[in-house]
Amino acid sequence: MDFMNLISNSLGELIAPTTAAYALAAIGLNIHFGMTGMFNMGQAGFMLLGAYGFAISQSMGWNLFASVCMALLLAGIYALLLGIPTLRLGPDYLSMVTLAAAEIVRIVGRSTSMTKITGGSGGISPQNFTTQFEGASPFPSGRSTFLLWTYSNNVADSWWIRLVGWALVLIAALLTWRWFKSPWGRVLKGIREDENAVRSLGKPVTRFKLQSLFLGGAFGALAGILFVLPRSVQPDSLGRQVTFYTWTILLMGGAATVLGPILGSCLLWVSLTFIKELMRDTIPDTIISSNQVEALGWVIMGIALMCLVIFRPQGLMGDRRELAFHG
Amino acid sequence: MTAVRRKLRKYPARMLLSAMFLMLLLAISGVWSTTAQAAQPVPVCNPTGTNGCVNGILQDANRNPVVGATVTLSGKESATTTTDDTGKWAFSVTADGKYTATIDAGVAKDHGLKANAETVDIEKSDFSKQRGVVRFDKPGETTSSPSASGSASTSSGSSSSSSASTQSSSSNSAGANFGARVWQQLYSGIIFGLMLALMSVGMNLVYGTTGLSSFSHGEQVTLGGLMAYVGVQLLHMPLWAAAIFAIIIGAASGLLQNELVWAPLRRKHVGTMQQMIVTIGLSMVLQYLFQFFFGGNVKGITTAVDQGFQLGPITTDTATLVSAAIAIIVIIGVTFFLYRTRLGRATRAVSDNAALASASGINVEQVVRVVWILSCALAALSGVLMGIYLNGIAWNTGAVLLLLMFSAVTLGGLGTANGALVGSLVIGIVADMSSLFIPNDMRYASALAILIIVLLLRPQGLFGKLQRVG
Repeated sequence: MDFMNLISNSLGELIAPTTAAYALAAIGLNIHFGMTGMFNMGQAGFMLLGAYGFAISQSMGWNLFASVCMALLLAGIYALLLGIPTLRLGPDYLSMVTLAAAEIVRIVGRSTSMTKITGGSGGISPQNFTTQFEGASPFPSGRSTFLLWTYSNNVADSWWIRLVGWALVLIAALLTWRWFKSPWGRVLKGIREDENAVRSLGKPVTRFKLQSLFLGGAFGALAGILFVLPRSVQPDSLGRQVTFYTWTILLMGGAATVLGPILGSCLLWVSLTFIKELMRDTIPDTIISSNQVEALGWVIMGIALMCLVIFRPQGLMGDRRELAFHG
Repeated sequence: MTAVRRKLRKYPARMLLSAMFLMLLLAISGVWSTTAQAAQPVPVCNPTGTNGCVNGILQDANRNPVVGATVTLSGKESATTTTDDTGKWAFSVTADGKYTATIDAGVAKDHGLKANAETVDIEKSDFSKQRGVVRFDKPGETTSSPSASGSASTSSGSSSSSSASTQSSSSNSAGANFGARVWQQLYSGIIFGLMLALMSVGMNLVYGTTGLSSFSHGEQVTLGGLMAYVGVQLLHMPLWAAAIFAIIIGAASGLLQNELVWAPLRRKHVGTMQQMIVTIGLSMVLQYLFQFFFGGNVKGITTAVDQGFQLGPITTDTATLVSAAIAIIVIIGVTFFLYRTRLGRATRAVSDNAALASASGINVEQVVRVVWILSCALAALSGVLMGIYLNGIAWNTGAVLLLLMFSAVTLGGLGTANGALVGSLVIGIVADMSSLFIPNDMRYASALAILIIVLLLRPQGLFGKLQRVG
């Protein structure tokens, strides 16, 4: 057994594009939940819409900037459609509607009748939408090694995606840090603590919630693009589970903190990979097969989520006084 | 924490041992792998961890089976088979990759089929690509269908193969038998709605008494179905005994989780939203435990395939009718319990106002315990019926249905007793009827869309009281 390999594989998750994508999605969810106290159970819907918006417009030959705008626009329309009917209702309703809407996006996307546009359940393969992104890379082609890891410079699961992904995460973190301190963020926190009190001060609560839903969803859409770039657009890979993992990440790192989502994402993927690889290496295949190891990894994650919420609902970095759970 | 650390310290020795064991195993499996079999024709193929399936039903343009035609498989592995007297053919394959199924071009032409060769992608480890269903009549629709959601999408028919073919055949010749299809879809919608009602009534009771929307309720349904599978297939019980076994296990799991998880959380005054996230965690744990123990493929509870018969304008079979009857009887029983017994009245009182009920001498904890047991038992029963109706149950069947339960409950009004029943029937009928107008694989989307529309117009749900909201 190669212990070095195990370590470098696990630590590779630390900088993986998927980790960055989840961190970004969790930052978006943090705006919804940590700042505003909204229970968005459909972050994967924003991600999938962003991915579709980007990939489809790219395959139609739009330029990169326009495609990203398209993704953000779709997320914005989606946030409006979801927000207007449900934001005035209780948290139960918002969570169920977002969950249902995300599932609608996925079901429609994977439908065979949409094959011409979305590629059906087979999705959109990377050569149709990643060429422009890869072409925009300033690096020479080839492979480079940095510290422990060797990746291609530009193609597929590359250093270029890592650079862009983590730059986006950094920008998002800086923005949320700024927003947390701003008057606007204080209103959102007020909504989180007591909606009626804020309303009594004359603030248009629904409009603030809608803004929050849009901004968080926009980060979700960007995360969706980041998520599909190293692989392909697969509607089923952005299902309900992704939302749940994002929640785990957010609660693990700590809601209502700036760095919590990033820490949570890194910690989750590194430890999950470590546990799974360790099990694969040490437990013989006849006792527990490779598929079962995968399942066990998620079982451990589920238990971690349960324990976190029960015993440390503020997460690793959170402040118990800033808990967004009410009632 | 210290226990974990101690374990870590002990680890290296054990790791060395298991590494040696692993090497030994690798050596053995190396010998074995040379004898791995190639593709072979089988009468019925079920994907497992070691084999994938390429199969289909060869029918002519009028949906009559083409008997005795030769189907050739090429690609990663190759084999040849002939279709049986219902037109079915299947290959079990071992290698991942692309496979092409071919029939003779003349045969295809004679029977009015659009294609004579179709390619599918098989990936054993991916649940959505374990089985490739080949359709020569509609080349575009040849799919690597997920074994699990495939099972859910066949819910509108009496048996998976027949429903798939009747539906697509009818979409071919639209106008002609539209009336018949309306009746058929209405019927299957009602059946589906009844089963959904069994699940969502329990979920709604839990919501009413504790304020918790349980994401793990879908897994309770799966548990019921899988326990019936264990009872019938592994313990060789008769079906009725296995069903009772499943219900008892379900009820016990309800009692257990109330005592171990939910009661302590309520005592600690943990918020319901926090509890809801705990149910998400629990749902992940249970779902992947099912996958761990039962694998990714669909488990058939009964092997016998019922012959369908004609009942007026609709085609059905005995198992479906019996399931529906059981569902109706149980729903009536639950309604009777809620409205006519002391405990049921107490349950409704707790649902209305827990504090007031407690003040008037009702033991709220006792009521909640009964509700958890009842709700999980109902879920288990619906899992058994669903498993029979869908011809099998998979690790994620319940999870697929969870959203429909949520819509049914929200539609009827969160926490209202009859709401769930009406909501479920509406969702079931809408889901199945909508496939008359929109593609079949989008019909769950229409059920969810109904939910959103109703919330727009009547946010408290059909039966909810306005003051509950907001």
